[in-house]
Amino acid sequence: MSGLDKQTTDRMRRAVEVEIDDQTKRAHLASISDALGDYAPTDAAAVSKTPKTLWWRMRVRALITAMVVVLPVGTAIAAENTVPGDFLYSVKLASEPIRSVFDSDVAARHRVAELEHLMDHPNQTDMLPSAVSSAEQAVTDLPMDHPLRDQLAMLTDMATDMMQPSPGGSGGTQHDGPMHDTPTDESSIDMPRDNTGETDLPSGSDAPKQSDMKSGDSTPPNMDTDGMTDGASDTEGMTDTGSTGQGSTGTGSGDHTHQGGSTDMGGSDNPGAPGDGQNDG
Amino acid sequence: MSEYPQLDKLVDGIRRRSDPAFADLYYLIGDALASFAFSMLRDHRAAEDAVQQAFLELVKAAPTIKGDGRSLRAWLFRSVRYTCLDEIRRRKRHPETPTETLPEQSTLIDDSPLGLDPDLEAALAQLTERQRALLTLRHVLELSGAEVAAAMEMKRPAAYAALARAERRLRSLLEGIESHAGAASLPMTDTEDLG
Repeated sequence: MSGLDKQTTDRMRRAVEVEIDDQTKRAHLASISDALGDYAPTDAAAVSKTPKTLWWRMRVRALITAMVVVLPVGTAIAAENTVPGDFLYSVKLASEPIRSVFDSDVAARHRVAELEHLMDHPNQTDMLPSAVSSAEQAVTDLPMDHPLRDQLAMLTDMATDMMQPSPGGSGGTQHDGPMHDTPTDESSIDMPRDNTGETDLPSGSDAPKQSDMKSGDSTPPNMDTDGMTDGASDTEGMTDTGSTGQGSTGTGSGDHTHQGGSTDMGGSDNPGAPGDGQNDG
Repeated sequence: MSEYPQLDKLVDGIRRRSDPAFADLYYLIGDALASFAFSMLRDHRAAEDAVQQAFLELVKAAPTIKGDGRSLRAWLFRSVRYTCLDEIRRRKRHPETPTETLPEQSTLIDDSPLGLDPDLEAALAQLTERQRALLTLRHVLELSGAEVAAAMEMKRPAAYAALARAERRLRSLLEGIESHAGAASLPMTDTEDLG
C-alpha cells in the first residue's frame, strides 16, 4: 500500500507532524475534566446499555411481541363468523386445525353455522356449493355417533336441495323441500358410511346395490317399513344418516325413512333402487 | 487485544468517564490527532482546537463507545475529521482572507512547518483535503489500511483506491514542481537540451 518512497514519506512527516505544546495540553485537559464533571461517574454495568437505550429496546420488543401475538389472534377472531367467499374465510379454515386441538368440534360447528347462514341469506346462495363441499367433508370426518353429524348431514342435504334447479327442471316436481324422497345419487351419502361395517349385512340380503349395502348396520330390521325386502331394509339403514334425528321417534314412515337417503338422491336415475318401492308406497 | 494494548487498557476507563483515563488517552494520541487535523486544516491553532473538540465529544459519547482500543482510535480520528470538515466549510462561508490570494484548498498559515518545504507545500496545496487526510493517516501516522478506512468512513477497497490515487497525484505534482524548479535553475541551453 505504500506508494511513496521513503524520502517523500519523511518529508511529509516533517511537514505535517505537529505537537501540542504543554500549555495547550494543560488547558485542554482542564476543559476535558470540566466536561467530565458534568457527568456522574458511570457504572460499569450500565456502560454498554444506557437506561434510555434499554427503555427504547424494551418498548420496541414489547411492540413486536404484541404484534406477533395480537395480529394472528385478532385475525382469527375476526374470521370467526366468515362464510365461504369472505375475505378472511381462508384464515378461518387455516385456524381450524390448531383450534381443533382444544375443541374437536370446531370445524363441524363452523360448517353448521356457515350452512345456516348461507341458507338464510338467499343472496349468498352462490357460495352454497363450496359450503356444501366443506360440510360433506366435515361429515366424513365426524364419528358416526357424533351429535353434530346428523345435523350437519341434514343441513347439507337441505343446502344441496336449494342448489337444485327450480321446479320445472328435471325431477323438479319432487323437490318441495329439503326432505323429499326421491332416491338418486347415492354417492353423496354413501361416502361417509364407508367405514361403518357393512360386513354385518343380513345374510339373507339379496344383493341390493353395493351402495345400498354400505351403511345400514345400525338400523334394526324392524325399522324397515312399507314391506321392504331385506335389501330394502339395508337401504333403510343407510338412510339413517340423514334421518337419525327424526327417525328415532318411531317406526318411520316411508317418507321419513327416505329423508336422509333420498334427499341426496335427488334425481331419478336409480329407479331400480329398493327405495323406490317405498316411495311408491 | 488489538495492536494498541495501551489504548485497550483505557477503553473501560473511557466508558466510565474516568478522568485519569481521559488524561492518559490525551497524552497517548493527542499529537497524532493534531497532526491529522493539521494536514486537513493547515492551521496549527485550528488543529489543536479540533483535538480538544474531539475529546469533548468523546466525553459525551463515552458510554456508547464500542470495541477495543483500535476502535476508540478510529472514533477519535473520525471525530477530528468531522470537526475539520466543519471548519473548512465555515472558512468557505466566511473567508478571513481573500481566497484568490491562496492556492486552491490552501489555508496554510505562517507558523506552519510546511513552510520549511515549499515544494511539498505547493504539492499538498493542490491535493484535496481528503487526499491529504488519506496520505497523512497512512504515511505520517502509519495507520493500517483498515484503520484508514475506518477513520475516513470508507470501504476498505475504496480507501485503498483513493489512497493510491492520492499517492500518484502527489508524486506527479512533486515531480512536476521539482522538474520545473530544476529547469528554472538551469541555464537556458540546458533546458533546451532537455526538451
